[in-house]
Amino acid sequence: MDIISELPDDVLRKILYFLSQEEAARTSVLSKPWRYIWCTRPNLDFSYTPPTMGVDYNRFRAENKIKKQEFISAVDATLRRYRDNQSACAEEFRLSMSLDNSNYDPDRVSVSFLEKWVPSLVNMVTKEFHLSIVSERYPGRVELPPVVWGCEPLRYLYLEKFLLDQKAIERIVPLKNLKSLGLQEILIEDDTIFGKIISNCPSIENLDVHGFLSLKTIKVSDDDLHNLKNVNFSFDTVLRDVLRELRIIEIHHSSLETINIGNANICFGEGAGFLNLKYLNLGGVKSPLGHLSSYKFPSLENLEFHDCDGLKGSEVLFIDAPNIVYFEFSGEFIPSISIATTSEEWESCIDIPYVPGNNNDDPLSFFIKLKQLLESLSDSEIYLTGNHSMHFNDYVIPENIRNGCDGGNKYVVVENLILNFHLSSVIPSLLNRFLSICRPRNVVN
Amino acid sequence: MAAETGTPTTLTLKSNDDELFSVAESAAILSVTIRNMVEDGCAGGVIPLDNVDGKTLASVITYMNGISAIPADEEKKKSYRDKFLSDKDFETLADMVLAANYLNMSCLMDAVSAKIAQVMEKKSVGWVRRKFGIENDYTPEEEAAVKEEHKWTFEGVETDDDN
Repeated sequence: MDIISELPDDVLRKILYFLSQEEAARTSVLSKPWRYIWCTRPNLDFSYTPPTMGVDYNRFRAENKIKKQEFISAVDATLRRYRDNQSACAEEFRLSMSLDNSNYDPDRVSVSFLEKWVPSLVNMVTKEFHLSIVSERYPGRVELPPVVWGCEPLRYLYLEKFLLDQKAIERIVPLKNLKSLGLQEILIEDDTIFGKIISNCPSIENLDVHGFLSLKTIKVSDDDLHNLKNVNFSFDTVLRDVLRELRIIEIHHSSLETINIGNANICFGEGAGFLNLKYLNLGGVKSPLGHLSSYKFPSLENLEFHDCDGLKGSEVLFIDAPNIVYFEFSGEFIPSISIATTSEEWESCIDIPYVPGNNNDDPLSFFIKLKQLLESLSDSEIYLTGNHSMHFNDYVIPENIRNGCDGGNKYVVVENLILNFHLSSVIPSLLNRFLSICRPRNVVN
Repeated sequence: MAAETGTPTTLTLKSNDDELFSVAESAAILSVTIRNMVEDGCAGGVIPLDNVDGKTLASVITYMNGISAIPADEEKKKSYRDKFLSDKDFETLADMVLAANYLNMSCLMDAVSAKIAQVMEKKSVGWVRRKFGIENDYTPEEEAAVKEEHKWTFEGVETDDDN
């Protein structure tokens, strides 16, 4: 007995809601009663990825061209149906499109279809409006139609490798619904454009910016973004070297829960508070980080530093994080960090290459500093990894560390010690040196 | 009402085949339909639910009690729903979705609809027809025309004999 076709349209619409766009549309083939139900479901969810690129590049290009055109026609036709159907209402619209797979396609790539789609959706979509458009061309080759920044219902916007110039934002309106903005490898004409975008998106909670080309400073402050919770900023080290400048990120914000920074300098505003910050991950930050000592991090659970030259220097970095759960450090030097916490159980992961003679560290001071660091983290469960550096085949292994240290009999307990050394002949004596500063429960080679 | 006096209030629900069920008001008002009746003061005696049979209502009440005993933890609620629906056959699911629709219980409605959708996922047209007993009333020409219209949706779908 055909029970499913007897279900009321409201229920069928709900069932179709949970299918992909293709699957929902395909139900029209089942039987006549199913013919048009799919185009009354409350969500439109389109996604396009180019076919896999094989050896025959020309074939891929031709195939992508046809498929993309089919996809665009299908979206066109669906939107027309919704527009013409009085009882259909799209609460949600999602479009995720990868335009191409290669930069070498000689055809001009355009997203002009958005100029047609966005205006017809603006009055139709009542809840979620997600747009994600990715190109593989060199950044800046693809122009963004101004209609995008004029799309008031936008909730989520992700753009990759587009050009953002004055023309692209000439029709910008306050995007009060925009909660998540992701911009990757965007070529931007000047810093004022980014500022203008930010000042028009007051509700942003998640801001992701990666490899933003030619942008020099990013400013994030309470004045514009009242609800900002998560920021991810990272820049390509290669591009950074080409441009010979580090982006500077200014943060004046108290509602933040997550900060992820990669390869940029940061500057926390005066009086910045981190009441809600749970996760702080800094990578490749060159600017001094000593001022972190002056803040309180009452909610911080996760703290990570990776290759941050800003931690070099003799002063101890003091982190006030009563609720820390996890601390991680990796870098080519040994920092002086102390974490004040009331946390009963927390972990520290320290990952350092053993590079005698590097960074003006003689082998002895390497172990002395490491001992000090382990002592300051001794309340946590410590996981220590010493890595082989390919550049040094002659390990200088100091004779007796204990004489050089405080000489006390207290050893820091290390849960797990991993030694990644390819030159097996040095391992026994190196292990001895590590054993003279700590007591590992497990040793992994 | 319970909220005012502090003592738990019990409601009596009556199915369309005249079975009576007692349920805590706090659990029953997961149904917006029942909540509205309670708020309008019609909950004094027996609440008749004309569109739900006893077997389905018993199941819905099990769900109401189970889910309302879980504190505000969306993950735990989800795993309760998954477990609750895991052994239900399609006929039962169809009864439940109708009841959830009538009782205006969005969380149950969503969970059952998603479960039914899951059955249809990644299946060929022919498979879905057979599974649900849907009679194909298209002529071959009509069917070909509809398929042509939705050609892009058939990319990468495994075909079978009567797809």
